[in-house]
Amino acid sequence: MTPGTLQRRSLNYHWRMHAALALCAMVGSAALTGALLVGDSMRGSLREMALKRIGPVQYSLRSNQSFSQDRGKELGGCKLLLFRGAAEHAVTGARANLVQILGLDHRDDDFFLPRTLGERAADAVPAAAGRTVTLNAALARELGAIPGDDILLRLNRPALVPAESLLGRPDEQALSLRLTVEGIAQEPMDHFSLEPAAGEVFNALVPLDTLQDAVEQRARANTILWRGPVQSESEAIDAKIAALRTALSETLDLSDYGLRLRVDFLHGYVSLESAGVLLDRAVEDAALAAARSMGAEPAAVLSYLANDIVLTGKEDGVERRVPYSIVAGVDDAAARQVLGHDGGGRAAPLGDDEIVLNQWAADDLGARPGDRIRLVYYVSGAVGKLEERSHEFLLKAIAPLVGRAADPGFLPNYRGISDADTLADWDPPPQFKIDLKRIRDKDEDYWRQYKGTPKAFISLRTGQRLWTEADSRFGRLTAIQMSGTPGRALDTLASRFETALRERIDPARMGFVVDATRRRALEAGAGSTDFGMLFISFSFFIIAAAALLVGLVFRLNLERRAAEVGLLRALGYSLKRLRRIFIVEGLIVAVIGSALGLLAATGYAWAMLAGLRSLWNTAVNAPFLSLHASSFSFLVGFAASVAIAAASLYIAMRGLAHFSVRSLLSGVVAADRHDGPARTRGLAILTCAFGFAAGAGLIVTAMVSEAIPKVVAFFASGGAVLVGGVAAVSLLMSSRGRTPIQRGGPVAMVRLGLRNAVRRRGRSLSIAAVIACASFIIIAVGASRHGVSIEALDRNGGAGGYSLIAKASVPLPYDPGSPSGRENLGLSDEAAAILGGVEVAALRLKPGDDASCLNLYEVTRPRILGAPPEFIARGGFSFQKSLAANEAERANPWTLLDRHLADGAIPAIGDANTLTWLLKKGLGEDFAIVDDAGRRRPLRIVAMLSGSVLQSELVISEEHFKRLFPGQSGYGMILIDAPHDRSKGLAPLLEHDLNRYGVDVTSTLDRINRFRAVENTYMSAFQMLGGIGLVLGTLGLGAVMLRNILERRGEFALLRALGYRKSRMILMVLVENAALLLAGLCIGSGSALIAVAPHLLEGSAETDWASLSFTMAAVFLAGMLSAGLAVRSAVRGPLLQALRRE
Amino acid sequence: MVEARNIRKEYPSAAGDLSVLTDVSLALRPGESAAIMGPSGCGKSTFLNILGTLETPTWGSVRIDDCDPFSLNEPALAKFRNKSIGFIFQDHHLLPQCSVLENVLVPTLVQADADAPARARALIDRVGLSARLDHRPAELSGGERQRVAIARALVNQPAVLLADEPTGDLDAQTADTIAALLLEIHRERKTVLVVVTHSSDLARRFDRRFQLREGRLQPVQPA
Repeated sequence: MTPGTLQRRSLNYHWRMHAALALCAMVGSAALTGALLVGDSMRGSLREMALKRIGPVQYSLRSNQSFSQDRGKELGGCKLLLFRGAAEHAVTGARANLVQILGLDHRDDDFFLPRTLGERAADAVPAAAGRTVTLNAALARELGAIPGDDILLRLNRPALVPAESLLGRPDEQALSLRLTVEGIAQEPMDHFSLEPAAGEVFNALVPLDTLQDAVEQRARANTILWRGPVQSESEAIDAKIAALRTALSETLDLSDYGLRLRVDFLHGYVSLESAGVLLDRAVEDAALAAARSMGAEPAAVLSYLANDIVLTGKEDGVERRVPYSIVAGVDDAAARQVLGHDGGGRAAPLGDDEIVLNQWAADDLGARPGDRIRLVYYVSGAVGKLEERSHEFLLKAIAPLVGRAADPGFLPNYRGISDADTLADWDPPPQFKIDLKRIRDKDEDYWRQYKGTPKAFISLRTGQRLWTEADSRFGRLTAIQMSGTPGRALDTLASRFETALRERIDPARMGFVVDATRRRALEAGAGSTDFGMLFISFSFFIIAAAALLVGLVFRLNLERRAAEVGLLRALGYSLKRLRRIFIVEGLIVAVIGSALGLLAATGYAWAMLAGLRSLWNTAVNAPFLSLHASSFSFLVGFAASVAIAAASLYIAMRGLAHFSVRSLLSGVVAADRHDGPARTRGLAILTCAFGFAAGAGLIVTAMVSEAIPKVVAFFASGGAVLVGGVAAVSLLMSSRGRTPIQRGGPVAMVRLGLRNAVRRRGRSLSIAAVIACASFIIIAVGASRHGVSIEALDRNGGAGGYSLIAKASVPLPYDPGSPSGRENLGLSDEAAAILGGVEVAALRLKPGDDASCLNLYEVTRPRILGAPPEFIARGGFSFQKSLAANEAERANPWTLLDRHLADGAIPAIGDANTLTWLLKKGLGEDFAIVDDAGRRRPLRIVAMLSGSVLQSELVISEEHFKRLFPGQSGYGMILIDAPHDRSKGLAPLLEHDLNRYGVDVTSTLDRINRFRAVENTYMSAFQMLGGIGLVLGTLGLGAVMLRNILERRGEFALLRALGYRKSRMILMVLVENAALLLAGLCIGSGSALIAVAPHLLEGSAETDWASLSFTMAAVFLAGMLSAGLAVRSAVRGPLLQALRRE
Repeated sequence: MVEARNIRKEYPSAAGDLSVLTDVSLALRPGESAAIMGPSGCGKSTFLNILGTLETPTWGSVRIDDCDPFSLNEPALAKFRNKSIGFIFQDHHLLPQCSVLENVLVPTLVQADADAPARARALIDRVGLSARLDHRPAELSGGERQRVAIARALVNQPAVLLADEPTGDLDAQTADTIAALLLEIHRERKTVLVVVTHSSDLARRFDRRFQLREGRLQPVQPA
């Protein structure tokens, strides 16, 4: 016989009691481990989907600009063209936005489908050239397209010249491509995407040649994909990335960067020029450094188009003009080369406001040195907007049309101008208005003879100040030139310069981004939210109820074995030893229960996932979720469950010290410490006062200030009031001075019932607390549901007063808020008329991860919006908090975006939910993004929006946006402040008129509703699991009532012997039961209502009070029914047997 | 040696302190036995519990084998009780999940004791239950259960045996047998035996008899 034997005997003998304990432990373990398994499953499913999306791709190269297709061969991997656009069924008009358009080479089929699979190549990659397209299943479904149907793909053609630069052609970018559906793509192309996305991906696979022709990028690609062995070690991946970058740097030539080196043998120089007219700043830096490394003196040139060269200040008052001329801004080196022919360079250097005309222009104007010359020119403003400006110069000298001064090479290569035979043939972009009537014959003669030879020269510094300073994002030079020195061949010079330049150009700064695609997919697959913790918090009340029930059942078991405990104490077992014996016994049961709970956990997780796929699909939109389980979660869940059970057992066991051996031996477990009530009362009064005071204080503080986050205030105040309420009930139970029950009848039975309710105060309080906790969560969550009221449309509401939000798959090249923009966009008169009468904000959009709660993946590259000055000045929206430092900023926190922070951080504003839960950032914190030049730039959170429509993006000012993302032209998001009655008709009009840009117009209320639906769905899940906790609490109540009744069978028998009717006794028990139920429900509901009072007072609550009342009533009735059945069985037993037992 | 001096016991209650024992003294040498009688509620069991260290006196002192048990901390007091005091209760309190042998061995589990099983078997044999070693309490009669309780009380060879109405639930013949057994063993082992009983027949078998009245212990002279 050992203590172990004693425990074994007890386990066997009391197996029924232990089974109940094991069941409670099992419930707790199942809920806890199940929640962790939900987390595993979310991560596992996201990871699977992320890997499914990228297929065999390990690394990828994405580029803002296309490069020679041959690079794919040299670098290995699969080259393709990848664009984002929209699709439309040519017949039905069904549309799909955010479509990935992939130009795939059928020769790369084995990249996607390993030959070992033996699949036919065409299943993955469309067949060779032809006007065909293969759709993935999701896109085919969305369009309702089947093989043989025609569809229209809409995308932006890559522009050589940035659309928003002076000579950009935004109107020519949008492209429609009519193709015939050849088939439906199979894996891996069905889900292929380099970006992790939980929702559906729309893929249109087009033969590479077809797409290259369509976008005028013959033999070019913009993406390379690499397969390779799966590497998991970070160092190995970094090494591979570094190797790919090095190889890339060595492989790309100047043409891939959109550059060319022109050798002018006639004038003896080498000129670096850009296909985009202006040289990128990174190229400028690299080229100047390369030239200097060769010991050469680079000459920098900025050539520009002047609308007029005007001779002013003549005595006759007549202004003479030369229309449409090339003017070159030249630095000192260039000035010496160009103007050096006149008198040994006395025209150089040029002062800030000095100009040199060539002989032709001077003769035409009749100008002499010392005259005043005014240049009239355009500068680019917003997209599609050119602003005419002018500047006056002093004519310093006149350059003869010889040597470099007669070099037409100053004019950058620009389609429609540099290749025009006559001035009349000029084909500038539409925003650059040319008045053909002003062109004279002599102008045409000049063009025929000298082409783009500049008619005037100014200093480079002045040129840049006038023409590029306002918007230098595309560059500030048109050429960097090096003169050939005697004895050196220009070809050699060009070759050396090219080598030196390539060494200095960082492909990343030119927008060539090599990415560890698989690693990034896995990182994103970790998810934006820890669903394990989320579901643990959802299941908190189930776990808490299970823990309480473990303690309660264990305590009931102990009470049944009170005599045994008393005997062992009498036999010399110390309290410590007794605790150990009973706790170990209980733990063995808890371990068995928790182990069984692991099996149940799988079922629980499965049920939760089924809920997430169906009932709660609104929250996650992830139908691909499947069960994943890690041994770690089982281990943690098991250990935590056992630990919780152990704590419950310890607390329950600890109470036994309060009972004397004598009372234990008699089997009556009742506190006989006569000082107990007084001490308990004091503690209860203190707890009650503190609970209510703290709860009220927290709520008031949260309502009048932002010192405490609302969520914290909610839980803390609710918890405090709830504890205070339980203490108040405890106080009521221990109150003295009861008047004796003297008069008979139902009232006496009611009073007797109430008296009974306080007999086992610990038990009764435990049950009231469980019911209170569960009803607290059900009421609090139910009352916290958000609705979207029309107030959201107020200027200071979540939609900022904007009723419609339009998103474009292909950025709009013009601002629909301006008359010219509407005209250029080709809006119908009706749409234009409506837009003309309302406020429209066109925001730039840098595509990226959806940062809203609709995205399950971890957000590493959030979408960025560029807010124009008008939007910032207008203000509006509801702010949770901001870094506003003065009254003006407080009145309109958007103005914080205009700040220029000393440390270079970019001010940004985001929705509080997005920042808090997805980006995990608070006010004043930085979030790093990568700009178009591949540099990490910190965004500083300067304000947080509250419940806004802008949850998917971070907002920065347009000024900062243009600097960070010069390659991102056009407007991706339009906000429209149209009256409600007009907005309904406007949405379909805009979608129709702007369908070539894949514009999707939705109501801002609908959009906020979608976000709110996610919150509400989570709340439903929380509520449902809270409900299960409440059911468990009710079961606990049933168990306690049954135990109470069994203990009192003798008492009932006695009452019957004394002539009490059964109905009276049932009434007495029901009153006792109702008192506990009502106490729990009232405490829980009351504390919940107090906690959510601020939310209810805001008026945005969408509470289904009827449903909540029904739930509470159902709980009450279920509790009453179980008690009624228990007491009915107790009073029906044989009277004498029960009396004898007594 | 058991010595109780000026024992007073009061219970606090809402109506004020309730005095159960006012001034009780008793001294018994090894081998002596005593029976305490008195009406219900007079404090007999309370006094027995104080002697058995299950309750602390409000006033007064108890010494058992020259030790003041109430000066010990809880673990030491439990150990003292385990080694020095054997209890026999009216309703025997056998563990229903354990066999006869196991019930007798329960007190020996507190400290490792290699001789305990042999001692327990000998005691069970002594009380006449060697044929029922593996039986459970539910399979025994009331008298047999009380014999098991006596064996359990003696298994740690205590100096003091305390019995609270040991024959209260038994018929006259069984009660007589149990009383005889108890006294025989007491004499064999020279323990101090204190029995609380209503039965004057049982009390008559003891060396010394006391009546507890109004909180005081009064010796009963032999008839």
